[in-house]
Amino acid sequence: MAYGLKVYSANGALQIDSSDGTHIMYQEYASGTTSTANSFSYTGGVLNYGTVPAVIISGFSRGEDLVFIQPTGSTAGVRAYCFINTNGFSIKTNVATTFRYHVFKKVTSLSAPTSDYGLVIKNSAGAHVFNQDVLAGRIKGRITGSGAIFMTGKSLYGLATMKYSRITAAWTPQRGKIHGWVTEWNSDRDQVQFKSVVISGQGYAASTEAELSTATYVDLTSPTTLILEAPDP
Amino acid sequence: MATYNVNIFAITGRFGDPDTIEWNGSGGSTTALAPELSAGDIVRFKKGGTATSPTVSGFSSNFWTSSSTINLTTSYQSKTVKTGGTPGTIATLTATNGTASITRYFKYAGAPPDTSIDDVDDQIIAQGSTSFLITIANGSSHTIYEVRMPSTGGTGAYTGTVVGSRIGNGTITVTSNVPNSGYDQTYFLSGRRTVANGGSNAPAGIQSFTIVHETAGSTVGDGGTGTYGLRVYDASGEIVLDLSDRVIVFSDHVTGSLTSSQTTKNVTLAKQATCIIDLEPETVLISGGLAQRQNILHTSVSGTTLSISRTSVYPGGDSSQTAQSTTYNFLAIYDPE
Repeated sequence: MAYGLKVYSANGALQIDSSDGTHIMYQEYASGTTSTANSFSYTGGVLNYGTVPAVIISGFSRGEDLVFIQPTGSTAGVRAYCFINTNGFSIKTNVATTFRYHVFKKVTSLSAPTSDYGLVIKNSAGAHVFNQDVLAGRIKGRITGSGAIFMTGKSLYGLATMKYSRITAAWTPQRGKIHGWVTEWNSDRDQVQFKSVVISGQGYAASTEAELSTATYVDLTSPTTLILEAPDP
Repeated sequence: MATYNVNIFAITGRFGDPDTIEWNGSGGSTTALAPELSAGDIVRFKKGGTATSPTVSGFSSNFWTSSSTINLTTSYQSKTVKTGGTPGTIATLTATNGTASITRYFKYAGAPPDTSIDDVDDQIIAQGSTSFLITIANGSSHTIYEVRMPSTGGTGAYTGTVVGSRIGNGTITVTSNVPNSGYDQTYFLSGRRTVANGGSNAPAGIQSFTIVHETAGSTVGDGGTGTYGLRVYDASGEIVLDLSDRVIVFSDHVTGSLTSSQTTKNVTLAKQATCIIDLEPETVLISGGLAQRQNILHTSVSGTTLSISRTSVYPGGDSSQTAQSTTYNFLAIYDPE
C-alpha cells in the first residue's frame, strides 16, 4: 500500500484497511429508546415473553443493517431476543421495560462526514472507509454458545438476533416449552450473558408417543452473538 | 380375578307399546353406587326377552381391554378390565333396545397415586455428564415416582423401562440411558400407588421431560482489554473508536433455498464471517402436532464457507409427510479478532 492507513489489533487482525474496498466497516446510523414491552402472558405457569412494539427506522435496510440493544433501568436479569423486520426491528423480553438501541450501517451507505474534526480515512476511490462523525461498531466480545462478557463500568449492548434452540412436547395436560437464545444483562449493564432459556410455555401437549416425537425439535448447534460498547443514545 | 354377570331383558314394542329394557345384575344406577372393578376382572353380558338386537356400548379403552360395542345374544359375551387403568375412573355403559335405553356405572378400583407434583423441567446437562437428577416436590409418601424410558412396542408412554425411582418427595438420580454428548432423550415420569397403600399398583402418567447433552465447549472471544489500536474522538469529545475495539465488517447477505431433498447446503460468502443473523426465522414452530423442522435452519461458518442445515426435510421429521423445500435469508458479518 503506497498510501492510506491500516490499523491492526494486538492479535494482528486488520481492523481498518483503506486499501481494501471489501473491508467495509459498520458505523452508527440511528439510535434511540423503544416503547415499553407489553403483552406478557403465561401458559401453564410459564412466562411467554412480552413484545416491545416494533421500532421503525426510516431508511432501514434489512440484509445490511445491524441493531444492538440494551435494557434501560437497573433491573437485573432482563433477557431479550429480536426479530429483524423490513423497516426496523422488534424485541421480545421477559421484563416490562424499554430498551436503548443503536442501528449501524455499512460506512459506505452513510452520508459523508461533515466535520473536519477527527480522523478522515478514504480509499483510493475517494470513498470514506471511516466516518469520524459517528460511532463505530465497538465490539467488546464475541460469544459462541453459552457464555458471558463482563467489563466493569462499560455500557454493553447485545446484537439483535434470534435463534430457537428447542421445541418440546409434554404429555397432556402438560405442555412442552419453547427455548431460544437470549442476551441477559446484570443491573449495571456491564455484564452480558448469552444462553438458551425457556421463552414460551407454548410447546405441544401430546396425546401419543408419536406426537411427543414429531412435535419436538432440538438444535445442538451453538450460535454466535456480538457484544458492543456504546454510550446512551 | 372376579367375574360379574349382567343380563339385559329387552322386549320389542308391539301394537303401540314402546320398546322396553331392563338391566339385571352388576352395575350401579349412579356413579356413587358404581361397584369397583380391578384389573383382570371380567364382566359378562347376555340378553333375554324378545328383542332381536339389543346392544351394550360405552366401553372405553381407558377402562376395558376392548372398546367394541356388544351385540347381545342369549350367550354370555365378556369384557375384561384392563391393567394400568386409573383408579377412580368411571365406566359408563348403556344398553339400548330400539328407542329404549338404560345406563349403569362401574368404577376402577383403588385409590389413585398423587400425580399433582411440581413440574419437572427439561434440562441441558454439561458436556461429559454421565448422570442427571430431577426433583420430586409436592408429591406424597404413598406414591412411588418412576422415570421411564419410552416404550418400544407402542404399548403406552408409561410402560417403558424404569431408569430411576423414589418414594415421595426428593431427588431421583438417573445414571443409565443418559444421552450421549450432542443428543437428547425424552423420559416419562409416572406415579404408582401400591396395593398396600390402597392403590392398584398401576403406573399413572404425570409428564414427560427432555434431557439435552451439550456439545463440546462454547467459546467467548477476546476483545476490549488490550492497548493496541486507534482512539478517535468526535467533535463532542465522545469516543468513536477506541484502542483495542474490534470493528464490525460486512461479509455478505445471502438468500436462496434448500431443495426438498437437501438437509445441508454450503454457501461461499464474499468475505470471511464470524457471525450469522437469520433475518427470516421460522415463526410457526408447530403445526398440526408437527414441529416445523423443515423450515428451522441452523448455521455454522468457517472462513468464507457458510453451512446451512436443517434436521429434516419433513415436518415433524415424519417421513410419511411430504418432503419440503425451504428458503433462507442470512446476513453475515465479521469481527476481526
